[in-house]
Amino acid sequence: MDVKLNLPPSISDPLNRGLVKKLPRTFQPYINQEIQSWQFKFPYEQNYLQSVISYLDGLSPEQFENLFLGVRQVEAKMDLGSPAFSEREQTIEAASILARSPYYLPWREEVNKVFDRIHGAALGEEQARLAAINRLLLLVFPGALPLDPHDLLPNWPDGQLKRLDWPKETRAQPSLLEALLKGKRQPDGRLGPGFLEEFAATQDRNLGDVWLIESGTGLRELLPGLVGVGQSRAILLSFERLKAFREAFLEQIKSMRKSLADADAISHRLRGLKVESWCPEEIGNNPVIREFVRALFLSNNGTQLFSNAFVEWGTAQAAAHARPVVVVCEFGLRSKPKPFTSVAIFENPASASPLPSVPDPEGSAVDAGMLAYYAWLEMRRHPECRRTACVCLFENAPYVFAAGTEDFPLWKETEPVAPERLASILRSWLI
Amino acid sequence: MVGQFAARKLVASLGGARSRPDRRLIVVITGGMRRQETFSARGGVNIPHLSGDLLPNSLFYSGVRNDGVTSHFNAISSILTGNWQRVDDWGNNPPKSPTLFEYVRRQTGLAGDEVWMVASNKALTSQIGASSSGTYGTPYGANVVFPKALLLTAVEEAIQKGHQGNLADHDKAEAEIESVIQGSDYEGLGWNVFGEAHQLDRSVEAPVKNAIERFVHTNAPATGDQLTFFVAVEIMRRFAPSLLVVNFSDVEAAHFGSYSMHLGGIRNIDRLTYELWQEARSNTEYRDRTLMVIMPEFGRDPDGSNTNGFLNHRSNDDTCRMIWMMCLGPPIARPRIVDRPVRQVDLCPSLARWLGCQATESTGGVLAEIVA
Repeated sequence: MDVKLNLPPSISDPLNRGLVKKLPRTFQPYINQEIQSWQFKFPYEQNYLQSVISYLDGLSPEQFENLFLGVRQVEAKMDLGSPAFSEREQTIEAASILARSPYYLPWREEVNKVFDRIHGAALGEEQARLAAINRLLLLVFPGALPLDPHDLLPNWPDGQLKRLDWPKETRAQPSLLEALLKGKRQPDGRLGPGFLEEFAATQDRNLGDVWLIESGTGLRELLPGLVGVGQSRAILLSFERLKAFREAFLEQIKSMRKSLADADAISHRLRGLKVESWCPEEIGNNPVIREFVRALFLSNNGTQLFSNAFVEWGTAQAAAHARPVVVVCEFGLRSKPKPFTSVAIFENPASASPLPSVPDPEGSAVDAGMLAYYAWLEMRRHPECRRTACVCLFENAPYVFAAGTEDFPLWKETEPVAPERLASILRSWLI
Repeated sequence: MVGQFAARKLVASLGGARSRPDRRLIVVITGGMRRQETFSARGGVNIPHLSGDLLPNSLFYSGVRNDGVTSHFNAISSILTGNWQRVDDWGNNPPKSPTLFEYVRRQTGLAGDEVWMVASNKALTSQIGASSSGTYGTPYGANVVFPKALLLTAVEEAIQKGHQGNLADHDKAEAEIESVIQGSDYEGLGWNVFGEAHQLDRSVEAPVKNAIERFVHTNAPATGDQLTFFVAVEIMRRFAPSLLVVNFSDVEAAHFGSYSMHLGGIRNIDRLTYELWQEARSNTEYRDRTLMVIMPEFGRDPDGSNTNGFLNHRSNDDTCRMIWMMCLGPPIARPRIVDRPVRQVDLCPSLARWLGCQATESTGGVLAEIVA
């Protein structure tokens, strides 16, 4: 496939002028891989790549050499002659060889310096524009998780609890989440639209601005207008709905022998697999989202196995690749590891042991509490996402736990805060 | 098959048989644990035995640094050799300089059944038992045993044969695991330090079976570390080796994103390490003459790192590189906490010296508190 056909001139012209060949050896596979996946990138990533390429292309030969001088000096000391070093793509084996080099840390330092200079010169203005946007990370803990909101405080020192005006019974109708996302029932019996649907319907939304990432299917059922048939106002990643995809990947991974070369071979095979038939429609129909999910499962971090790890790492990768404006996550419940199969962690416990699955609410709650914190840290790590407000909602407790910038209006609210009032605050924060 | 438990008779065959040394050494190397989940104000709850029962009587190094590659095979082989190893991460090559096993066997003439390593981590291979050093190498290596790999193979074979129902029945599960030991396709796990024989030595088979039986029928969690512990204890009772290295790795469930399972792994290590020390105190071969050292391979990545925090161990932060070390036993002259920074590679030459040897090719220093 000649991906150059789909590239904008701002990238294809520098490529035709031999830009990649001029880069240091360890930069070539990265840039090549980024270009190869151009058509599968979110708008944010495409803008980023164009800015980087244009900046490099605009440097004089002296400036170009000066930028990469430190990297080239370290590379000269490293043993990069291995055939594992592909110029076209980054491989696990090549990464391992780099990491084992005694010059790995100096190399990392020089690479960071290069990117700091590129970002400062080529992206500073755009980063400042994006950093002025108010963003929201809404994390939902379902009633099945016995998580005391107060337990989040020790791990999350910059967070605050706010009491909600909401009955304690978990079976209240509508649910707290429904009350927040859909508002009061209208006279004709319809629910919503809530603030999130309003926001997603605004004109200037890009692909990757709104994400729903969940363990089950509750968000999809609650917000069909965002992700229903023919709708693409939000990206939906549901661990449950991706079951066929996950299990097919696990089968491949299980076949891996203990070698980095084999890991690369399997990774290469998985990158080329036709996966459309395993995808739910909201993913299979959009190649950008489909390839995002493929990359998510390839990067592991437990994404194929545990729904809460999937939710957290999905959020982290959404932040890294799309700089979302709103991410709504719902955590879930996993089963306890079964005797003996717990060591064979890549086995599907349901097929590996006839013992019935036993839910692990306490363990799932511990996982979700920590991974919610990580999702927040991952959002906030990016300069463009500094104005992210994080709100944790507990379906079994009348509290919200929130973190964010000093001017987030929730801080000024008198307790208890009604869900409609919270929805209004979030609406004004976003729209 | 198997080679695993040492295919040949476990008798002294190299360096001439000398009298057994009076000292016993147990080294426990654990998977990655951060200080915030272990020796910290909030982490103490996860290690009640280490912090409450053992710390007051220990020589404790509060700042031990891993300056090498923070992958399993490289970290463990760096500890065992006293040099920062930079070999294949998945154990396809041996360490490049001699291990503690080799120094001790070559210089003191210890017999083959005196030096063992029992390991949980799947990233290890039998290459961890001996280096590629020309003057040392396999003839002076350790017996290397991977009980967790045995368990994994048993689970996989049971599933392939459609016997998964047996995994729900203790007696049948035991039979499934034993059938792997007696099978003919198990040498891929690599316990071949002693050669190429294809029958499990009967003197070794019994302890393994005993360990499996106790593992399967105990009410303790059926984790890989639990089985590693049982096999280690059986080896202590059967062979009373002078040098035993035990590696626990349940904490590595962190890679799959479960914080609760990671904490569960830390609590297992706390309990199993304590029980191992109790065994050393009650076993007459070990009582009053054993030094036991406990040290993680590394920490884990910090919260908020771009490597996803506790799930991984590849950042260049102190959270990942700074760990601790605890030394227990009568050989320790005076319990105390040493805050002076030391390095993981200092352990091998220190322990070699304690056992009366010289780790001649190590770049590590000797820790005066251990050899005093």
